[in-house]
Amino acid sequence: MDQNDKNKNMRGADIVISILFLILGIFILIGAFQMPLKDSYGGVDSVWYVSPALMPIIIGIAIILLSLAILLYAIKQGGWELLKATHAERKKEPILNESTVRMLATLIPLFSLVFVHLRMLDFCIAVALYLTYTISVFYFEDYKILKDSLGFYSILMVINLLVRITGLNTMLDGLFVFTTDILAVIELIILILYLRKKVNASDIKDTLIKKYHQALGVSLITPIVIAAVFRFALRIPMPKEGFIMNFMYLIYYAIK
Amino acid sequence: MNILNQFSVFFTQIGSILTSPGQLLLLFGCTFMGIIFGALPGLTATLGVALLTTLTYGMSLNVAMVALMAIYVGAVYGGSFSAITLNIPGTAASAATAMEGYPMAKKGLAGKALGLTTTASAIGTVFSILFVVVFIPLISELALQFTSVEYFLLAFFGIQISGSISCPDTVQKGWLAGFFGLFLAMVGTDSLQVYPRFTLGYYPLEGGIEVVPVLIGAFGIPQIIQVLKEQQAPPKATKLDKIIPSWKSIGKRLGHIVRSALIGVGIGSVPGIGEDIAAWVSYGTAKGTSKHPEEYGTGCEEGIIATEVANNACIGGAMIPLLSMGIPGSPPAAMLLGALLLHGVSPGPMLQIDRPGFITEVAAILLLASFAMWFCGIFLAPRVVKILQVPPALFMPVVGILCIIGSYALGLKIFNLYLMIPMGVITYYLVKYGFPVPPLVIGVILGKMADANLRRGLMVSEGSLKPFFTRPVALILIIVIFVTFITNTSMYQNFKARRKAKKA
Amino acid sequence: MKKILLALMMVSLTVGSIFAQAQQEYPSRDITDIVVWGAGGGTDSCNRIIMEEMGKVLDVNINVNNVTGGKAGMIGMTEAYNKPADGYTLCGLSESNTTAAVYGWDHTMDVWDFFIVGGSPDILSVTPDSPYQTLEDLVKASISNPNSIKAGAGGPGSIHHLNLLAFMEGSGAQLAFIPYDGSAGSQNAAMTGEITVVITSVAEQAEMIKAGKLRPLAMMTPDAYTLASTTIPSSFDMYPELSNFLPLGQQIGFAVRADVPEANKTILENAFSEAMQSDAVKAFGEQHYYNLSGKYGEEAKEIFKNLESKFSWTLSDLGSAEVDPATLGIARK
Repeated sequence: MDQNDKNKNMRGADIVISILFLILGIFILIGAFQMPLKDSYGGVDSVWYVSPALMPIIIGIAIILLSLAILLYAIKQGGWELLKATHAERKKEPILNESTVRMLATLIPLFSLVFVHLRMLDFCIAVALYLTYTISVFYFEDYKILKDSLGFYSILMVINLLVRITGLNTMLDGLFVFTTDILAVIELIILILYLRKKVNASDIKDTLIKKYHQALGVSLITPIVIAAVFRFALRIPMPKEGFIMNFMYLIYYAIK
Repeated sequence: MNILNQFSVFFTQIGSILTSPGQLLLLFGCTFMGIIFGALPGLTATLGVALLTTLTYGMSLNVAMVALMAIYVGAVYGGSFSAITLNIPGTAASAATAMEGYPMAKKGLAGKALGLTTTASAIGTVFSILFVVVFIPLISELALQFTSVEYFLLAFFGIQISGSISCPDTVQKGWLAGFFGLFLAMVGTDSLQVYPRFTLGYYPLEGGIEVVPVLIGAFGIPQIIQVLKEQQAPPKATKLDKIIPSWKSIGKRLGHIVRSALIGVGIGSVPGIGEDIAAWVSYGTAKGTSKHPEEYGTGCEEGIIATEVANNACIGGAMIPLLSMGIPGSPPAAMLLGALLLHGVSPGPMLQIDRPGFITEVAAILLLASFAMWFCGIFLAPRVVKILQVPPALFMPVVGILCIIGSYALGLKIFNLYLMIPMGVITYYLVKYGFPVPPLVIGVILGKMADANLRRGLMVSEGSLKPFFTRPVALILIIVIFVTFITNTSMYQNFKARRKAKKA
Repeated sequence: MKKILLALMMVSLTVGSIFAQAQQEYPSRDITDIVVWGAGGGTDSCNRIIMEEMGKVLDVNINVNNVTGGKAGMIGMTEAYNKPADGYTLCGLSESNTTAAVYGWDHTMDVWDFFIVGGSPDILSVTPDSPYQTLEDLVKASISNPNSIKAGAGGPGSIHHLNLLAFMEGSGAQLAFIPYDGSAGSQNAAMTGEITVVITSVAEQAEMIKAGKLRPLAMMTPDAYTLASTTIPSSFDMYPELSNFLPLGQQIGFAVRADVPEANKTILENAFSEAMQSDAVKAFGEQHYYNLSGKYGEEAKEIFKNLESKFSWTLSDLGSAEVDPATLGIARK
């Protein structure tokens, strides 16, 4: 019975998701009918059955039918009421409830790492910026620190994003090699000091300080180890090789 | 060459490796490395073989083959480690293993699951070797029955499996996830007419959506979000005593193992398709023929045996078209072909005449590699499971980094990461609202194959559907598809009827 | 204390790595070769062997990575092109990449300097159970019954496809082209009997021909070719018209950005010439039926620009080019 109740609660969300899929299905069909249906293309004589639109049309129709089925079923099962109820409940709570904050704390570092940092900063520094925040705040298991530091971290990330968008980093690197990397290292140090301050201010300082050291250890050693293994043992070039990677080269060739 | 001669070549080869400490070390080292490669999300057998191709360039052919086969066997098997312990399949081939392995781990049986997959993989490899040695002409003949029509039907059968995968909510959601996967496979340049489909004029999309970023995105990222956001700790292994499965538990399932191995060898020997498809088809067949299909999805031992036997048996299968026709049976086999060419061996119909005994030597190396894999696996299993005792917040972000660098390493495309992360967030919500992930992944794996081969088949037959019914293999596949369809619907009806009876 | 240590480490890091970048002469660290085609293929094998030999000459590792995908290997070429023009990034490519510009890549082949290892000539074969004993048989049968004979020749837009098109144009043959994913797919389809005619390179067909699984009819080059003591005639002998369209030869090798400093380019050129003379490369060429070339500089660039023109205009005539070659400044040759 539990399972049934849980599934029933999904009906509200089902309405939203099935409508999204319905739109996708329509988009697929529109796209498919713009493809060459009959005429020759790419040196291949074409008839309907070799058209690149054949499968997309089938898929588009199937997605539309299936999402309609889910939509109708959800409405029949009282999905609208559920949706309204959840919406009303949601309104009572602050926009940033714990669940949302935790989600943001997971995703903001991940998105900044992939979309902003990997191409802009040395691989090790980019990863250290990700790990230092993510590991510390989740490992502390202290919601207050997590919430407070998320704001601070987000500001740093917005700065980095602006630098990336404006192309300031290429200009800085043109002035003096690795300028961006060095600035990012300073950013990392600020972040580490900030977290330290938060730990010091906490009521459970003693337990947290131990966790703080462990978290920092993992966050700073992991990128170096991963970069060294992938670059020198597996011979895979990193997305961006700057400050730290070049230093590693120096050591590698000195040993070699 | 007669059988007696073959045997002597086989045992001389085994003897020469066993008595040379250098080669033995290489064998174990490369197997070990392969397992690590397989276990790390994104790093695949193909990449492992490619890496060693360069590193073994200077070695003699025989020694190089030891290294290459060892890493191949290890990497195909290694994916099961992360699939079972973290629900993040390291390779597409082990995605099916996660279906049963992770629920087992949730029950605290991670150790037992790993022991079973290790033994199953070893048995799968040994079986496939037997086939390579004994039936090479027969199987290459069978593989030649596969024209576009059969490829399409095989892909269709694979896609059909997604309908039989147990769904947390209504069945339509499973189908919808499957079609969403198929749609993702359509994105990119069409391989028949070079027409760009759904690329929105954005050129990185022209290459299409690759399986690995979708796989890691769909399995890895939601798992990381769940652990961090919902503080949902990965399962701890509680029972570590019985890693090595008993003879009885293996003997009981001998028929099951032989069938899975046959599927693996068969699919491996068909050029162009590989371990991932073998694992899913074997899983689907195991569920379809099982006496208690309702246990699947809850940590069924038969399920992981089926997938692991099949994906490792695929290795031997893939050797058949590679060595007898010079046509690679799977992506890692394609790389192996390159490696052989660099060493001056030209696989093909002439290989038996140019280099008699070479196939037997390869089989001997494979056999030793599967033993090495078993020892490494049994040694690693309890140690890997211990990782789960580390606080998850400390290692899950590191797993995240490995997912990212692993997916990047395959093809060095940052675009794959741009795709993987949003994919992960989408799947997180899909999973939350009762959509199963496996059909989506199956759709992406098989979509292109189904599409291109259906149209190519019709192009060859000039629009006629006759080949679907006149070609023997096609007819068999159609019957299998039809039977699966029927059993699925009646199964579904039975299930419904039983539920009604319960309520009343 | 900790902070002082940290600061000291940073300073040493900075100074050290800046020196590492600026001072040493080329090549002082690993070179990366980005191969735009898949692992295990012709371009990949060729690059792996030549890079190994060049690595020995230059005394550094040259790492071969495959970055595939996109039309005409566009994704890999973009990856290689976006790396600094310092000679530490090479791009393993082949003749088929010359279509990139008409498929919408931002650059024409002018941005590269090429090093050509060689290529294997194209050959037309039929399945052994087919009735066609000579090229004339095949052409006649195809004319009397147009589009009934199926032909495979690698993917659409590949060098083999272009050879097939040129052959049909020059001989009047009317074959139905069935596209497969690459040469291996086409040859497998010939084995299964799905297609009758297959045009791929000698390197790819040699083992099949020797085992009698394919019957060679003619070379797509002006000269006859001897394979395992059988002489395969040139198609030009039977259809002199073909010389207007053929030969379209495979050119496998690698490239560097044209704006790499001349000094570094010269070092690469010397290493390349030396590597081409090595026994390993020679043996590779012989075993795999390659005509070794070893061309670089202006000569190689001329070859690629020619191919670019032929490929681009053929695709444009077929209606599958996305950009008009004329607007790209590619002259019709």
